Amino acid sequence: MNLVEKAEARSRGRAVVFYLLSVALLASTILSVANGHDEPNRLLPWFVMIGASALNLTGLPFRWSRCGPIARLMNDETTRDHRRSSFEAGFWAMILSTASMTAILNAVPFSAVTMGRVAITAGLIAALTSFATLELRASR
Amino acid sequence: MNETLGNDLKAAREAAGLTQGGLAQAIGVSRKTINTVENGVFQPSTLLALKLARALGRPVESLFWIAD
Repeated sequence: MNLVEKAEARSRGRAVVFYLLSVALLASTILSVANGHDEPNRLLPWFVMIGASALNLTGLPFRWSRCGPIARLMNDETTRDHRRSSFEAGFWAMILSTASMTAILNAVPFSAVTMGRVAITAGLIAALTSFATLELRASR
Repeated sequence: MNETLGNDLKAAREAAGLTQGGLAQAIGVSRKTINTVENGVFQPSTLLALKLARALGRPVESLFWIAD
């Protein structure tokens, strides 16, 4: 297996991990909102999860580390373009989710923590799934 | 006016006897970059377009053009 094939296999793996992260984020948010768990100590694992997801979605780890040839192939021009597109999807998902929650705030009173959590989760899920989908589609 | 970037990359690559993976390795990008450029999904930077032209031994303007 040459470098290009190795990078492609890892890129596919990264896309699958992003789909799994999206499912985990969604499940965690649904469970916490349904059970009304807004306590700060319960938010800590969630902060770790969104931090890790957001960090992996950016190209920052590639900038910090001394990139090997495979890492460079996994962060080439197309991948950076997919990142930009996925950030845009995340931005709109965040706007839409926040606007939707604001619109129904009178009927269903949410806490500020819940609103923030839902908005961030929606944005991250949209960005992660958008990135993973674009990457897998490009690899076909 | 809705201008797009046309390209002859696939034909030029096949004429050179290269696979997408082979061309990708030659210029140091992923295979998906070659694939998306060939399909017109992704518009390459000037740098990438010049690298592709050099690898295929063709002038860049014969590989890429503005399609009206």
